[in-house]
Amino acid sequence: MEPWIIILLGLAAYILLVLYIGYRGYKVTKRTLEDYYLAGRGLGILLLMFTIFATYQSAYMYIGVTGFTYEHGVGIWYSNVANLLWAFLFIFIGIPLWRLGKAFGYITQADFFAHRFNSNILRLIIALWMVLGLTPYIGSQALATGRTLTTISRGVIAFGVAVMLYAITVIIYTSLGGMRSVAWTDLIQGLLMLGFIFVTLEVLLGKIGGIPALFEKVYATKPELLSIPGPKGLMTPGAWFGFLLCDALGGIMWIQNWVRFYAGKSWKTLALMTFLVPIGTTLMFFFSMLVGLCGVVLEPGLPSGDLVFPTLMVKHLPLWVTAGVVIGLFAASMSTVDSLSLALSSSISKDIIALAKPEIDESSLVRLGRLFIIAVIIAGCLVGYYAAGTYLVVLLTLLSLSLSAILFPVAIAALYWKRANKYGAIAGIIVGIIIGVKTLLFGPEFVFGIYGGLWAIIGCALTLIIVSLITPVSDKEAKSVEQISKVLASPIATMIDINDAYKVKTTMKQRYSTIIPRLIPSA
Amino acid sequence: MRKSLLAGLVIYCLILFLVLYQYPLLGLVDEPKLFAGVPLFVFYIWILNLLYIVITAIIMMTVIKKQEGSG
Repeated sequence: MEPWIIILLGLAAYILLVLYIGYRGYKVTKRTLEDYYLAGRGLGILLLMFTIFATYQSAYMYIGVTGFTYEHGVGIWYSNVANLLWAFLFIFIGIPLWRLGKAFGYITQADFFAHRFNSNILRLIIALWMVLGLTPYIGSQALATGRTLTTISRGVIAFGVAVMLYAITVIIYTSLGGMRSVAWTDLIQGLLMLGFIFVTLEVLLGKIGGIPALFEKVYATKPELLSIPGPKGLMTPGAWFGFLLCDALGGIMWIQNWVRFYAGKSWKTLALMTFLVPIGTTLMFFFSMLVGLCGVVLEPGLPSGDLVFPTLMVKHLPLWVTAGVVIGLFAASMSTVDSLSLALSSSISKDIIALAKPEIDESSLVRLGRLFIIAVIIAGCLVGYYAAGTYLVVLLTLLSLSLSAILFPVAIAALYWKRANKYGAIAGIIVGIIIGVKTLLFGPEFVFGIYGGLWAIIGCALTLIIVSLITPVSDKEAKSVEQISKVLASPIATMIDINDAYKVKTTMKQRYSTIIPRLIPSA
Repeated sequence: MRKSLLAGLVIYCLILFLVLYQYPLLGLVDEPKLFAGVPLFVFYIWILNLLYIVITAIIMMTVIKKQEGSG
């Protein structure tokens, strides 16, 4: 039997498994927004850990990290450190949002900002920006895996067919079972991507002679790969600082990561994520980085870092490992696209459609949401397909990433600064976008040695503060602030022990009982 | 204890991510040489990552236990 047929059979088994999970999710999911988009806010430790881990780790871990290490060396660790910071920030952002989400019934990211600042304009800005900016990202993931499938089938499966197969699989299991299916598939996908990168590394290290031999050989041929700024001088101290902060702050604001704060079973589940998720990301980065260095030893002189992983796969891995790696690559890519399409679909349903038609009921929104998942994935694939290799995809993705990080000061101010108002938030976002677009797209990327993305965050924060101080807080906004304050008192204190910390004698139940009926009709 | 724990968490975060993981401290280990067969830079960050996971786990488990203990 042809080797590629064996690989495709393995892939078919994987696809059948995720489709089955999608079907099981469909059978138990109710037709409410909370159940469909947030798994009824009931994800336990294992599911939450893997869905956060797998959502954040995309095909970039296989192709991008290995390629970056091959070209620029161990400076890629900045991204792993950013993962740790991102996870630690769950304490300051994730846990408060879990509590607020439960109290006020938030489903989307924009729900929080719209409630806190009492502004549907802000809701629309955030929703549209995320949808327009992140849809092409779906396309880039589908294209990477589609190309892989075409390559390993030696062209028997045409590129368009491969992308279609990928898209249909994700559409079916995501739209059927919503967050419940996505979380369970993320568990399987997280284990597969982690397991097969480890097996790949083991095979390659076996050829080189172990980790010490690997480092010694790299040290003997290209020692600058083992320190920063690396052989091409990319990772300067300023770049390290800027990339790390933007990666962490952007990551926590990314819509598909944000909605997972609402989906945990309790605040304790989220508290555990601060160290459980970094275990997975650190291992994944370590394995990927070492695979990239194996490429330096086994396949020196490749014209581009992106080629190192496919080249190692074709030339150095046995068939069964190659089959596993292809599945791992699909798993890494699909676990990001399913979460992203689900989050974007919820945003279109709740932030745009429900705003335009307030009388629409929940089951109709869920039904529409399923259609939006299909629409978002097809649109992403079409944009990617027709704009493959053009500047458009890069431009839109870069802009969306920049905006994600720009939202960080707005989120912090919304949670911790009562004086922050909608004028400040909107002005801050606009200034942040302008600085981000100017520096990241038109250059120079570094100003006074500091990364442009960081300037955008600083610009947003300063504008937010100044405009908030010189403009009034409306009565409705003040009421929202009061409601949020009552639920949180202090987000961190709530997590620890609110009664001792702030001498608040009322229980959470008493507090909720005065708030929930006004905000959540079903309560 | 609660307010000081809150302050402690912020300080821990700032020291770790804005000092220990940054230059100029990183510059001290940023030599392309091997330490116990591993590049010094990688070794340093690996140790910090491990410490982060262990210390954060201890903090979070203590907080959760205290919360459960207080009912």
